[in-house]
Amino acid sequence: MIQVRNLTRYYGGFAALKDVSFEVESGEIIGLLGLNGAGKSTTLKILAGILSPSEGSVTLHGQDVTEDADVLKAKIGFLPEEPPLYRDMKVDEFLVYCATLKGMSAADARAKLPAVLRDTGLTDRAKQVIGTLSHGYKKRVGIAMAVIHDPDLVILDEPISGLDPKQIAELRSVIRSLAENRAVLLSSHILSEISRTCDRVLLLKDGQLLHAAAPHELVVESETTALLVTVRGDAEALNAWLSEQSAVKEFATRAAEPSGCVEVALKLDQEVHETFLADLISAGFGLRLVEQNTTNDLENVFLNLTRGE
Amino acid sequence: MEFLLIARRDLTAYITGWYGPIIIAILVFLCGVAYNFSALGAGAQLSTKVLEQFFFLAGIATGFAAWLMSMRAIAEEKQTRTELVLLTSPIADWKIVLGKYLAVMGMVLLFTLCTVHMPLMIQVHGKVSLAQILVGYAGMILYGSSVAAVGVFASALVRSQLLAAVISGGFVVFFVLLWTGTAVIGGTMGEIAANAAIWDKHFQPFQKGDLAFVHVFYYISFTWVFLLLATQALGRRRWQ
Repeated sequence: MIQVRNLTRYYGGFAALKDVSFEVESGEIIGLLGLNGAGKSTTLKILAGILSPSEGSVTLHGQDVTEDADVLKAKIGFLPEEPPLYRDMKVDEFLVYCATLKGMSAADARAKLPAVLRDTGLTDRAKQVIGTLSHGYKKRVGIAMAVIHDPDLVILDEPISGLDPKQIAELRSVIRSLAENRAVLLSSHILSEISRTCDRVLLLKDGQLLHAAAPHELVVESETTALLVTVRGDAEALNAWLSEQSAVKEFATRAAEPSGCVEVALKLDQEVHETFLADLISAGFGLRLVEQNTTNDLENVFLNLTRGE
Repeated sequence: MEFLLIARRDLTAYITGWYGPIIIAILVFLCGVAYNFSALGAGAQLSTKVLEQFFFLAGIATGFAAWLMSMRAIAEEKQTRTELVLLTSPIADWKIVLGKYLAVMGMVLLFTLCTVHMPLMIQVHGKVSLAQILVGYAGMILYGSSVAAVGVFASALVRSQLLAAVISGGFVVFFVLLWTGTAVIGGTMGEIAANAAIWDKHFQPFQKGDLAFVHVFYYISFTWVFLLLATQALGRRRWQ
């Protein structure tokens, strides 16, 4: 649906984005990962039509829209980290205003409004002045603003920043529902959120695309993996035994329920999982639960890949 | 017609907020007080002279109204980051600038409407022609339009409303003081400077009720140039 080819952006002599290429298909949720200054915001701003690339192209449904930002803007919804909202307007007025600016007729915008309000959980706030809404509801208004004109791609920059866990869970389901008939590109520093929400991750470093893969594929590509293991046994003895295991890269233990059990968070080489667990049992510890700690895994991958040369 | 949407939104925000009505109320009050002292309270005068003085004072007040309203036009959107609503919409930069300018002019018109009772008061003891009143108001609006265009340009340059006000204030003072060109510089350059001034030569005929196309053309051109500059300033962001 959207093809980005050899995108490069200079700020003066500094290349904020270097030769970045990727594709986005309808129905996909794509996460943009990278440290500060990696080029995430520049990529999002170019796709939102706010910035022009120095080199490269953006193609939408086969049409080159690099030089025609207006075509791109009409087909894309953008929610920056801080939603751009007119505090003096009511929610419904604001959404109709945004839709008409995007090229919809006022009548079409009003007809679309109830569905968008319902999808973003704003139906009972439609007549409320935006300035009086909570942070979570302002984010929802921002998302409603980004989708009311029925765009092909929705870009969300740090959509969950500043939200409480309940709001995050609600927003996660809103984001998933958005991707049912369009693509969603979101940037976030919260790796657990990326691994839970996204189908694919684009990893940027110093303006270059390092990796493009599903979160679990990135984890598989990693040499080490993180496990959460709950065992029954003496904590000191377990610490001593883990220290002797060369396959274990890092570990941390803490008391766990039920009484007499210890939870171990550890990192070890991928290919020694079975041997390690067999050795653990042979050493006399009772194995009660083994979980893969995917959040830590993705964090490992992220830190390994973005680590300086 | 997206510029009308922008103009309507901004005009509604000006009117329903505290800022616009308070600025207009203060300026109408000050204009009325000054008019009372200088024109009505200065003994017997010809009605046309009183009307000239009114348009002199009201013209200055119109300039202030345009200046104070326009400093918010685009700078406020930058400050509150709502400019992204406009910049991510498929709207040409000139339409954004035009919408902002029209909203400011809406407030300028509202201000001029609030002063209509002042020239009508002359009718109590004297007589003025409707044509002189209409031409005077046309001059006020054209002068206000020029100041508004400078203000919109300044607010497209910077994020701070205060800085936008300082920049546009500087420009307006410069263009007003150009009328001293003949006396200070002298010669052809001085004459050119005096002709470029937005006050004096171009405004005085309106005060007196003389409608000359050249002055109308001057104010429209002045407005157009600064709106063009504002459009350039806004478009520059995509390449920065």
